[in-house]
Amino acid sequence: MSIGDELLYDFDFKRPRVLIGGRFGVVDNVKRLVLLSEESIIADCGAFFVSLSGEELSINRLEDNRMHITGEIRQIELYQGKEEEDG
Amino acid sequence: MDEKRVLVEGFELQKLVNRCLKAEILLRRIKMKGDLAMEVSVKSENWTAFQKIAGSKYRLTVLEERGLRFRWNQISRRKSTLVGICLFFLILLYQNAFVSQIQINGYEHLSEEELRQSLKAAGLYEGCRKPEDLDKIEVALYREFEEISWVGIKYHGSMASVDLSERHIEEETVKSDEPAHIVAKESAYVEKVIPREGLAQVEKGSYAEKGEILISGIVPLADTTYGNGEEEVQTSRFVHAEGEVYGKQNHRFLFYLDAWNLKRTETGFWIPGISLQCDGFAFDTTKLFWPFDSGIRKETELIRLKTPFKLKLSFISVKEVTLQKVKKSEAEIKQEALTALRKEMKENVAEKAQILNKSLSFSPGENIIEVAAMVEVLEEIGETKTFIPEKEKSQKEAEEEGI
Repeated sequence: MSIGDELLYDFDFKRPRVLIGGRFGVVDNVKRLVLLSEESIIADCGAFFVSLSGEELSINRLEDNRMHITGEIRQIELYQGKEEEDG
Repeated sequence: MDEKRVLVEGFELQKLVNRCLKAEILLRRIKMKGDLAMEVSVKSENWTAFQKIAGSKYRLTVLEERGLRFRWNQISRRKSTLVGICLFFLILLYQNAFVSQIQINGYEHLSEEELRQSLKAAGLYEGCRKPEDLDKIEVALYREFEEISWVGIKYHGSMASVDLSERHIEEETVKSDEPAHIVAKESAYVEKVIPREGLAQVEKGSYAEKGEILISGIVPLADTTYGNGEEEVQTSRFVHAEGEVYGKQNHRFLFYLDAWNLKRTETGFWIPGISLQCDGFAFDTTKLFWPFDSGIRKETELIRLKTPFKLKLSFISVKEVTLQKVKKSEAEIKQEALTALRKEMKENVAEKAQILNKSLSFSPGENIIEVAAMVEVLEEIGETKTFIPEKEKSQKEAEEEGI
């Protein structure tokens, strides 16, 4: 990764940033929640929507546009958001 | 951190979450309980804002409250509990201001009773207020007991620990290069004489009085060279006498035994009881209620405390028994007499003494049996005694002139 890409990656607040490990996940740049249930969580990250599916999902912490999720995460989907579509 | 665990019920719960996100209200552990309910943790400081955001669209039920402030509010509402806790700690502190127990360690020749009396006189005893000046008490102990070489007093809670060290008084020993006799320490009939150094003064069968010389440290030397008509020159050599002299001694003992045995038979009836001892206070149910003529009392300790205060709680069981006097058999009496004789011998006869003969004679009375025991022992009767050669010589010369 070049320095330029790294800087872009670190400072782009519109990109979704998802970190998954075991039964824990972190989603950054969350602007709002679209859907919230035990099996599915869909978050609007501006340019993208992030959908997490699984079992016994719960949000451990939601603050400063960062969401911590725990539970059995089976599937992650990223699809373009409204802004990009319009843009 | 103070927070509330809330159950939120309503439609489109994610909208509430989004509003909280926008208002920068921290939400933790969001768990969905179906489509229309969720559990969420909200900080107490954000509670009012959260309620405002939820408004009347959502039903909020506080499930749990956590945090120091919440606990403090709970406790401060229970004034009598607070007062009780304060009183408990005050009593604990007050109890700690007194000495509940004194433990004395390190004494060998001094008796504990003497030491405790001395401590009491100096102001340290069980139940007293803790003396602040312990140095004064230590000085008092040093003054009263010469044998004490070091003493230290410390408090462990309400227990005072007194550690002391006694001086070792060295016994005078006779040096092996000093002239010495072996003398009789007790009067006895001489049985065996084994002189290794010195001249034996007694023989087997003779009677030696206490203090009599058994092996002399003065060995006469005669000049065995051929003389030229002059008288033989007699001289003496002074040695450290060594050897063993065994003598027979008779020891007599007199003691009394009970002629009867008390036989206890349990009837099967028993009653329970409680005994409580706390510092100076004592309560025993068996002292208030004892329905039997005779009984066996058994105490089982339940609780025993030494600090911060003395406490002992025991369960008591009292079993009813009937008493019967049973005359002791000859074998039992003889056994008891032998046991008593062994005890007397342990106290009065030397450990290495060989028992040659023993006899017991019984004089039975109505309730008491008088036992007279005689024991013949063979033991070493010699002990080393130093002498001054010049003094001994002049004494001998004086005796010879006297003759």
